Amino acid sequence: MIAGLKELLVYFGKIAILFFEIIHYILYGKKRIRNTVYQMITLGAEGLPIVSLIALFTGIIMGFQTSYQLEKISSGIHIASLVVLSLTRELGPMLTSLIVAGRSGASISAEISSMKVTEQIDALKSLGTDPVDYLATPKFVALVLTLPLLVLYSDLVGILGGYIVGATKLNISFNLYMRMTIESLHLKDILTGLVKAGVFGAIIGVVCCHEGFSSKGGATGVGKSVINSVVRSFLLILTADCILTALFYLLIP
Amino acid sequence: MIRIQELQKNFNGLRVLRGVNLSIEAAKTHVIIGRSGSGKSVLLKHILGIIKPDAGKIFIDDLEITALSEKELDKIRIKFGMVFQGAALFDSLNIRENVGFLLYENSRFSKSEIKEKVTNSLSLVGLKDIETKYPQELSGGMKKRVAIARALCFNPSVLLYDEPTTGVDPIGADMINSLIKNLQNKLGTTSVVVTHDLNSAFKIAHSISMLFGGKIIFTGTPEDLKKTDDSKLRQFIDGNMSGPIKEVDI
Repeated sequence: MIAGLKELLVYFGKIAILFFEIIHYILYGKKRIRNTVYQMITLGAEGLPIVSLIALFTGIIMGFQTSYQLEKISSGIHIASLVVLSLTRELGPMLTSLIVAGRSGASISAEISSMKVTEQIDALKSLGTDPVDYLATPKFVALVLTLPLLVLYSDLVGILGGYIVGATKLNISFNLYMRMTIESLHLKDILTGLVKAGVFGAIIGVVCCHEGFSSKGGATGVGKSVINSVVRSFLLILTADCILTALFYLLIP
Repeated sequence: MIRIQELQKNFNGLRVLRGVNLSIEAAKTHVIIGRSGSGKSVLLKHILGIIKPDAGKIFIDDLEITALSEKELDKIRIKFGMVFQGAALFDSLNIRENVGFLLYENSRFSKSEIKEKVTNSLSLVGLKDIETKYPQELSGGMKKRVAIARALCFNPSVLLYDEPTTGVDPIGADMINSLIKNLQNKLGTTSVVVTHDLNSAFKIAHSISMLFGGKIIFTGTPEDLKKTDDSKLRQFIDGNMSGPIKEVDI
């Protein structure tokens, strides 16, 4: 029990050190714009198809579930409000972050841990370059910047999913659906979702880079790093979501 | 001049280095031999500052590098060129970006100047017209030579080679041996080569040390080593399974 707690504290200590090293390189390190843009494309933009599919299906499922409840009280018209609020405040950031953690986070830890076992990390050091500066910082920045954009996009696609149900099942017109959506949406709903996405992006970046750097052994080590990166990212995203939702609820009611 | 004093390193309770003492002369090729797993590569990474010792000191021209911070070490490391056992070329970069990595990262050279320096480094190792290829398109021997070109690109004063001939066919291995020898003659750099390939050691070394049991048990010229009567050294040179060194001893 005590050993497990100690291990947990050591883990969070290492994560915190890596986080502050990355922040240091963002502020004072070499500006790696080309590499960061490349990472934004591979870690973020290339995930658009899967994000689109999942957001669309989520919107449709939300639409069916809410219309089922609302029709009972003859309030089917409110489907738009419920779908958009659930998406922007919670489901959009959460689901998109989990997709990115599974897709891009796994790729980050696989890349870095493969570099570790083939001595490429040592080669970077031998060439006077800190791997945190060269590898982790651009990926971290890319995730923090692209995840909120992906969330915005998934919110829009999810709303479209909700509209498909509203239009086909409840015969709501496009204009009415959009008016109901916009009227029930406040800026804080979108902003809290985007802040969550930024924090989740940072979690994925730090956790997955850390798992890559601490990889040991050969192919088995790479596999373990990938598993750990996805599982730990998921857990930390859910924990952070819980804390942030409570915070926003209390601070911006 | 590289001076190592009482260097010790443990990994999870396994005492790999148990007090290594060694002096490596400047502008010469020094070869460190020993069994696989004896800690040769670990010793080399200590010289480069990639691994921190548990105890002991390393001096490069009277500067104690074991006392330096990572930032200070980064400045020292660019005076070293390291050739890793598996070449350790960056998969995501082409050969030009690999060889010129240090120049792209740390210098104020223009792109055309870097291009020229990369071409020069590649020609020193006998390669040309491969700048736009990626490491996965090259053979093992070519990768090793590209790794040597990368190590040379910033005109290092010390070249460190980790098993340069391992995984290369005998002809390729001999080409790498003559390359190490020619580069040493031409550039006058201090070269430290870690290997268990005795053929290679005898061809390139000005001096040889043997690492065994976490300590240096011999230092001398290749001729001294060939003539030695020491039973452990003899067993290693002759490649005998039976002798004072048992299977589990490293």
